[in-house]
Amino acid sequence: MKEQKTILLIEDNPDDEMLALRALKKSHIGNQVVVARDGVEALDYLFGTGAHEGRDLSKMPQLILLDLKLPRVDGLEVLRRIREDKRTRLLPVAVLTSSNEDRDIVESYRLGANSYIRKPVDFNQFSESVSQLGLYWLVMNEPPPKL
Amino acid sequence: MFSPLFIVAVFVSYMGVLFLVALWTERRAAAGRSPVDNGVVYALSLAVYCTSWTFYGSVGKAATSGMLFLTVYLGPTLGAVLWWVILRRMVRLKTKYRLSSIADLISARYDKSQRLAALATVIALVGIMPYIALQLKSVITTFGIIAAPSGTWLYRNADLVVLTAMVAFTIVFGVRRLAPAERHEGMIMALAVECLVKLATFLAVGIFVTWHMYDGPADLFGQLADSPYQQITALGSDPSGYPLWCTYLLLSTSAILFLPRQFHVSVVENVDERHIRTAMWLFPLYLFVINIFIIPITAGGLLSGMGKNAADTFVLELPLRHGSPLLVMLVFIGGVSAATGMIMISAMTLSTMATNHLLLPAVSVLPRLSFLSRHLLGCRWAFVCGILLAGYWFEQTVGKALMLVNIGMISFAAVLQFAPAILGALFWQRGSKAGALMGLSAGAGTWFYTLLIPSFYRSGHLAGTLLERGPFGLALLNPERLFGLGILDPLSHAVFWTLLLNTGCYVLGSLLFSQSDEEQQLARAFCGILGATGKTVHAVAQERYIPMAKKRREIETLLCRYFDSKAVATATKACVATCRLSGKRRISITELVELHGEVEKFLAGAIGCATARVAMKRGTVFSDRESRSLSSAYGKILADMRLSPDEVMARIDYYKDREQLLTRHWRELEQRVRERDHQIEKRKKAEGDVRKMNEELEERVTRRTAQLETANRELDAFAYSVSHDLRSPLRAIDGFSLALLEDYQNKLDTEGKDYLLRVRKGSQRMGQLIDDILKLSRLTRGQMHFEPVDLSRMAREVAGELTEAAPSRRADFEIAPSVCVTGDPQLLRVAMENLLGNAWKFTSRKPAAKIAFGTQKEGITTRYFIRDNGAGFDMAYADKLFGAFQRLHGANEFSGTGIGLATVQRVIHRHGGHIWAESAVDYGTTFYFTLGTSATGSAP
Repeated sequence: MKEQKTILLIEDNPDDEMLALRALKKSHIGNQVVVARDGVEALDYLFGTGAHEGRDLSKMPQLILLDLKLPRVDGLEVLRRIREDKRTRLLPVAVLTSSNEDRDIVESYRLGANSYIRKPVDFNQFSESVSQLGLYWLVMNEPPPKL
Repeated sequence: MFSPLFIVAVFVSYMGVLFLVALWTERRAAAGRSPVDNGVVYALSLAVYCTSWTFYGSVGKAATSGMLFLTVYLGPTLGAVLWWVILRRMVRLKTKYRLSSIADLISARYDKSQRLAALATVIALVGIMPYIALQLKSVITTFGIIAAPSGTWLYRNADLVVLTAMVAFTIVFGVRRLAPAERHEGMIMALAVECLVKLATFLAVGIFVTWHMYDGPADLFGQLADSPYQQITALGSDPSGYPLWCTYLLLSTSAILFLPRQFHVSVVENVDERHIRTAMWLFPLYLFVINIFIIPITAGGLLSGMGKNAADTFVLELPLRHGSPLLVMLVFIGGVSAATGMIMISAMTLSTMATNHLLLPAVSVLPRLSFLSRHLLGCRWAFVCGILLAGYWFEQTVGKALMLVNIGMISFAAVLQFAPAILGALFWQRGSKAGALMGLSAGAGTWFYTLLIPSFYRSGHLAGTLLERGPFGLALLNPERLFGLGILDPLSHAVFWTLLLNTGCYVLGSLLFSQSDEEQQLARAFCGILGATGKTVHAVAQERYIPMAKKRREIETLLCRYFDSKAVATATKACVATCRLSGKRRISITELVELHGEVEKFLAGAIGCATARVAMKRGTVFSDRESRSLSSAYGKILADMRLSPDEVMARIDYYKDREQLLTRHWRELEQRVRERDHQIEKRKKAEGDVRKMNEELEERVTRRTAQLETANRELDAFAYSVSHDLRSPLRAIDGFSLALLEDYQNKLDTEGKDYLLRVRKGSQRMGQLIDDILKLSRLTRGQMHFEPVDLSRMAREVAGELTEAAPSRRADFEIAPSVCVTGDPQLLRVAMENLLGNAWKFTSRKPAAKIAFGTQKEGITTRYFIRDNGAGFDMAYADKLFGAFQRLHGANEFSGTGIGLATVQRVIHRHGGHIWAESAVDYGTTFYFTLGTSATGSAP
C-alpha cells in the first residue's frame, strides 16, 4: 500500500479548522489530516510525548500547516522547536495565519518556515490558497529523503 | 719771634671772637633774622675750598710747577656754570630727604643702601685724611716758624696743642648739637669771617711784597724776567705738563662739588637755592682775587734767594724776613683761618658720616654696642678726635715727604671717586645700587693702590721695589704704570685708571643688575627733583581708626634709642604738630604715614637716611588692616595724581600710570563683581526654581512617555490582535455563508441566497476595512528612510498603473518633469497613489478627464499639487476631508473606505508638511501639499 502522506494542521480555532478541512476537501486533497489544537499538542504529536506517547515516530507529516496564534505554546515557538530537533528539522512548514504583520512574516522565515500564507477573509480565495498549497507541497514538491 | 704762649693767646682770642660771632649769628637766626641767609655769606662759606693749601701751597706749587697751581682754581671757576644744574638738584634733594652728608646722598639715591653709605664713608675718611694732615702740617709748621725757639712745654708740644685746639674748635663750632642736617648758622658765619680774614691777609702779603719789597708789579716782573726763575710764569716745563693740567682741572672741578666739606657748606648748609646764583659769580671772583698775588709772592720769595723747596712757607717767610711782625701775625692768623675752617667742617662731616654710616649699622648688628646709640653726640666727638689723630698720624708718616699741593691732590683724587655715582644719581635713572657699589669699590681700590700706597713708598715708610718693578716683579701691575701705561705722571695715571674703572664698573653694574621697585622710585625722584612740585596734598577721605596714643608710644620708643627723653618728647610733639595731628585721638592711615615720614626725616637728620629707614622699619609696625588701607590709599593717591597738572603727569611713567589705571579698574571690577555676585545669586535662585520646574516637567514627560509607550504597546498589541482575531470571525462568517450557499443550495430560495451573498459582501468589506486601518496604523509607526525621490517619475508610474488597470478609460495626465524631493519613497508612493487614485476615481464620469501634477513656488516654500477636473466637493466639508472613514460621496457614487486621504495626510505630516484642498463641485479638486525643510525638494 502506498504510504499515506499526512498533513499536520495546527489550529486552535475550530471554525478555521473546519474551513481549512473544507477547503482541503474541496481541492480534493484526500490526505490524512492530523489536527493539533495548540502548540503543546502539536509538539507532543511530533515528538511522541504526552498524549501521543509511543507514537510511531517514523511516520512524520508530509506538511505542517501552522497557525501562529496558539494557546499555551505559540506558533513561532513550535516552529523553533521543529527546526531545532533533527527529526523534524527538514519537515516543510507552511505558516497559515490571519496576521500579515511584517514582524510575524520576518520572524517566521527567520525560524525556517517554508511558506507564509495569509488567510483571506473571502473563503473562495482561502480555499484557492489551500488548494494550491496542498498541490504544491504534497504533489509537486519533492520531500527530503527519510532519515 | 713770638713767644709760643703769645701765639696761642692770639690764636685763642681770634677763635673766641669767631665764637662770639657765631653765637651772635645763632641768636639772630633764632629771632628769625639770620645774617647767614644771603648769597654773599653763602659764597664766602664756599671759600672753605681755599685751605692752607691755597694759602701756602699755591706759592709752593707756582715755585716748582709754574702756572699749574692756577688749574686748582680754574676748575671750580669753569665748573661754576654747572652749579645751577648740579648744585641746585642736590640742594633740592637735601631738603626733600634731609641729607646730612655726601654719603647720605649716595645711599639715599641707591635704595637707601647702608653698605653703600658705609663704603662712601670709608672712602671719604681715608681720602680726606691726607687733606687734614696737610692742614695740620701747615699750622704746625707755621707755628714752628713764627714761634721763637724756647724750651717751654708749649713749644715742644706744639703739635699736641694744635691738635687739641682743632678738636676743641671743631666740637664747639660744629658738633655741639646732634642734628647735623640742621643748619649751623653760627659756624657758617664764623667760616665766612675766616674766609674774609684769609683773603685779606693774603692780599696784605701780596701788597707787602709787590709794593713794599718791590716798586710795584713792573719792577717785580722786570726783575723776574732777568732771573732764572722766569719759568714760574710759564705753563710748566715738564713734558707731562699738559695731561697734568687736564687732571688738575678735572680734579678741582669735581672737588668743589664732591668734597665732603664742600658738600656740607654748599648743600647741607644752603638756606635758599637762589644763593647758588650769587655764589656762581662771587665765588669765582673770590678765587680770582686770592690768586692775584701768588705769582708776585712766588717771584718775591725766589728773588729773595729762598729755595724752591721752602716755597710752601714764602707767604710767611717774606714778611718775617723783611721785618713786619704785625703782618707775620696776620698771615699766621690767615693761615690758621684757612686750616681751621677746613678742619672744622671736614672733621664735623666726617664724624657725622662715621657715626651714621659705620657706627649705627654696627650697633644694629652688635647688640652689645647698643648703649652707644644713646650717646651719639659723644660718639661724634670721639670720631672728631679720631679723625684728627689719624690726620696727624698721616702727617707724621707721609706728610713730611710731600709738598702740600701733592697731598691735597691725593684727596682730590679720592673725592673724584664719588663723581660717577653722584652724577649718575642725578642724571641717570638706570644707575643702580649694584653699579654704584661696584664703581665706588673699583675706583677706591684703584686709588688706594695707585696713589696712596705709592705715597707711603715715596715717604720711605714702606720699603721695597714696588714702584720700580711692580708687585712680585709684575711690571704690568706697577702701581704707577698700570698695564704698562707709562706716559702719564703718577697723578694723571691714577686719575685715568680710577675714573675708567669706576665709571666702567658703575655703568656695567647698573646695566647688568636691575633696580628694585623702591630704588626705581628713588631714581625717578632723584632725576626728576627739579621738576618736582611741592608736596601734593591728597585729600583722601579715610576712616580714622588708628589709635594715636599707641602709635605715639611706638615712635617715642623708637626715638628713645637715640635721644634723651626730653629731646624725644620735643621731637615727637614737633612731628605731630607738623602733621597737624595734635590733639587727635584717632588718625587715618595717610596721616599715620605722614607722621612716620616726618619722624623718619627727623631721624634721618640725626643718623642719616639709610639708618633712619632701617630704624623706622624695625621700630614701627603696621597691622594687617593698616597695611591694607595703606595700599588702598596708595592706589587712591595714584588715581589722584593722574588728575594733577602736567608736571606730575610727567613724573608718572608708563608703569605707574598703568598701575593706577589697574587699581581703579580693579575697584570698578570689584564693584561689578559684587553686583554680578548679587545677580548671580538671584539668577541661581531663579535657576533653582527653573531646574525644579524642569525636573518636575521632565518627570512628567518621563511619566507621559512611559504612559505613551504603554499606550503604543497596547495599540500595537491591539492592531496585532485585530489583524488576527477580528479577521477570524469574518472568515468564519464568509466561509460558512459560502458553505451554506454551496451545501444547502436546494433548501434556500432566491431571497435566502441573496441574504447570504449580502452577508458575505459585508464580511469581505469588513475585512478590507480592517486591512486599511492596519495599513494606516502601520504608516504612523514604521521608521522613515529619507532618500532623494523623483516625484515626477513616481507620478508617471502611478498614472501608468491606473491607465493599465482600466484601459477603457481616457484621461489626460499632465505631469511636471523632474520634481525631486527628499523623503521616504514608500510613504510618498502611498500618498501619490492615493492622491492620483482619487483624482482618477473622481474624474471617472468626466468625458475629458484631466489630471495634473506640478509645483508652485510661494516664497521660499514649494508646494506640490495634484489637480483634477472631477466631481469636486463642497468646501463646507473641507475640514472633514482628511478624517478616517470620512467620505464625501456615497458608496454608490464612488467606491472607497475613506481611509485614503487620512493616510495621505499622515504621510505628509510625517514629512513635516501640510496638505489642504481647494475644490468646487463639478469643477474638480486641487490637493496642495508641502514637505518639511528636511524633505524640501529642488527642481534641477
